[in-house]
Amino acid sequence: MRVMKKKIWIHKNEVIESLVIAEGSKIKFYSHTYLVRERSRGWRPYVKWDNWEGQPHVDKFDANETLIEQKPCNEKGLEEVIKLVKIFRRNLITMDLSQL
Amino acid sequence: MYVNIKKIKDPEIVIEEFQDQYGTINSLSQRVSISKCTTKNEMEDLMVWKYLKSGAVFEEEIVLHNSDIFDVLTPKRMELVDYLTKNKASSIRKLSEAVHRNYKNTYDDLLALEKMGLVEFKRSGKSRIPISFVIRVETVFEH
Repeated sequence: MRVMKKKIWIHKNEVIESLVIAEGSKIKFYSHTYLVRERSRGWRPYVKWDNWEGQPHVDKFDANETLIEQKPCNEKGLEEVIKLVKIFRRNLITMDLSQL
Repeated sequence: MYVNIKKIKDPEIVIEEFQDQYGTINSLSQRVSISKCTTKNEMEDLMVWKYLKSGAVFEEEIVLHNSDIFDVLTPKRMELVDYLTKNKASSIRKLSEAVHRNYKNTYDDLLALEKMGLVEFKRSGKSRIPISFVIRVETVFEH
């Protein structure tokens, strides 16, 4: 079993924090969060993809880090999340991510 | 081009940090069951704790994709990381003496390295002990 934590700096003030727990080649749990650093607030999550309790879904958060939307979506690997974040960045918050 | 930094932290240390922060795994589990998966850090810490308890290996990586890489990874800062991977420093002052630098510059560089996740601080009385779990820094050129 392996617990893998990754922090990917996309920009000076934007990161993806990823946690993947794998047993052999099987992924038991994942959580990939896009965070943005804001001057007055520090780091805050924008969008998070995870499969808590085996349910792949995507969450969006407001400026107070309160959940504002949760939708089911396909399982997301880190590479796919990096690609989405690099393309859409802060616009992700306004998009329908369950369709991506 | 990007820089890939690999860290290895003893699972026992990670579990100790969780105990300091949350008390027991059961109390963290209760907090997560109330908030469900909406509190990112608590949910992730619970999963990490659960699997480390069962003997999982813990690996950490930091990937720097942006062009500001070398603003952070200056030679002087990398010298500090290099020193800390090979030696123990009982305080920031001791570290600054060991690398023949003044306290203020050493302290500022350690804070910058902490922000990027290359250095951590452990409290011991009034002292902050700088530690680094970095084992490899790799520059990757993409074709």
